[in-house]
Amino acid sequence: MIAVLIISIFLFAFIGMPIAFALGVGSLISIIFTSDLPLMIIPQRMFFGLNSWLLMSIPFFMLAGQLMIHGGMSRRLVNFTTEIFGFIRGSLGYICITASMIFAGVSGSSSADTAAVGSIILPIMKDKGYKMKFATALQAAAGSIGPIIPPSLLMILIGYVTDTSVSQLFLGGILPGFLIGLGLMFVVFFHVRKNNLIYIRTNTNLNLKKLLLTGIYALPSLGLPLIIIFGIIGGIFSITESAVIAVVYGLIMGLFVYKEISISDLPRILFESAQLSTIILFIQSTAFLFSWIITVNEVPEILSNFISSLISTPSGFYVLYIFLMLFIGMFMESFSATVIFLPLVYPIAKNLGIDSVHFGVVTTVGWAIGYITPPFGATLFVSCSISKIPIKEVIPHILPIFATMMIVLLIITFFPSVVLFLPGLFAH
Amino acid sequence: MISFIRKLNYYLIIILFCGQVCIVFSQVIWRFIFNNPFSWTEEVARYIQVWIILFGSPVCIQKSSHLSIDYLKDSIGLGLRKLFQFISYLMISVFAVCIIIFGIQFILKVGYQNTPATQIPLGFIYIAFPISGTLMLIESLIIIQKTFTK
Repeated sequence: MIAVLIISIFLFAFIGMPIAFALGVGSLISIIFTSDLPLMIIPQRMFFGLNSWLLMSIPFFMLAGQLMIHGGMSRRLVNFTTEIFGFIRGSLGYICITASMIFAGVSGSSSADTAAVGSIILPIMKDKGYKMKFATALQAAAGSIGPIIPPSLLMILIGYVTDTSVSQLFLGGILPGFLIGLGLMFVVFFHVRKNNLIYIRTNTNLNLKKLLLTGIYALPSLGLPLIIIFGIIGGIFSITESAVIAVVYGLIMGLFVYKEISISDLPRILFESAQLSTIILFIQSTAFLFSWIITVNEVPEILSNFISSLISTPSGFYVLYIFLMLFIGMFMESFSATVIFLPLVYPIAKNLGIDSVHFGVVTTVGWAIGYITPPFGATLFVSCSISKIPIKEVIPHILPIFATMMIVLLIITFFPSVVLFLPGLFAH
Repeated sequence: MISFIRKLNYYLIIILFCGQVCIVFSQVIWRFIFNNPFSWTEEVARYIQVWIILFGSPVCIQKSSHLSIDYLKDSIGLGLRKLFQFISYLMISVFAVCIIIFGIQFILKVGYQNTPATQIPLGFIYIAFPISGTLMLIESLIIIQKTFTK
């Protein structure tokens, strides 16, 4: 039964059927031909896959992110970071990274993050004569920090699938997110040095007055991540509640403070966000059917026993797991990969006594690297479509960035305290 | 006719989403001010969530925005690509028909039970399955038709 299930899913996914339906059709075929289960199980499982209070935070964070993009927050963030870094050589590279990181603290989605910051900063970089192939690769990587720094849609889904506290995952992502940001800044530094590029500085010197002014304009977007993070850590809000607060906050900012959204824009923004959430959550609903079938057939146990006869240490597991993630990340997008592979892999990790928060954060960073690896990289795709450069030409510039992110991944994997330090401080 | 249905679905999704935000936000407010949240808000919001995703899926089929692996698609000829697209959407249509039939069966079997907090018969909530199935069937048949005419 399982062979039929897995083969048909991969076959259908391979010929280009949407993943959500490949999971559904594969499950349907395996139920019909290899078992006597009632088919009523299909709508029933799909229903329970969606009927979750926690998963509701995904459309809410999505909506909050869209409201902030349409409300002009991303532009103000770029203005603010320009004042911070403007006087440094190669400043726009640092601006791109920092603005993406701050926006990551607002939106939670990598593609939204890349599109929001990239559509502003990439044209400016082109104007100032930056090497666009490098800039495109950089923006793709900076955008991939989106799901690592909280709030994160991907972590919500990972927390749901592995039954791990999402607020602990959020906390665990903060340090790795900053490490990647820092690593990318080194890449920019060496890029400017090595090629001896004389990029025009955007500002001649640090202008404190302008820094303060743009800072005040950007303050509301800086404040939101803090409200969310402290609200969740302090146990004041649940994840879903903080997501709805983010929505209302974004709405008030866009409508009344920045005044860049009008009431008549709202239906379109609502519909777009609902669409983007459907793409993620419809996969979750059919994946729930799929993971139910494999659990009923005790596949995770069998797989787990098989693997533990081969490897017995967490490090051995992680080495294999990282290779697996890098390979999957080349072809598959993170949300589908999470709902398909984590139900299989997580029981193995649990058997080996691996901390679930550590596992979740490592997985997030692993998928984040998948965002920039061709042929299929989600943020790479967005970034390339903004700068209108074919993915092929960007690949050489991906390499140093990929290496940097790999180093961070290895650090957090083999030094778990980097991840677990912050969650440990606030463990309830 | 089809554009009318799409328009209706468009507004339905917007109204549902808007309502969901209002319900959950009011729950937060009530919990803070009166320290006793409503018992029904969470349940209703969860059911709205199911509806939004089920009604959103046909729209994603129409705009082909459901995620798929496009790797193969770019490296094969037009004829094969059309064949694969035909097979994919034929199977999606079959799946949609299953959702309609077994969704109705599901309603008949357990639909009379009431939800815990709001006491609505579950059948009203599960009705989204046959509706969504029908819409998905229509959208995927349209794509199959396009495969042959274009």
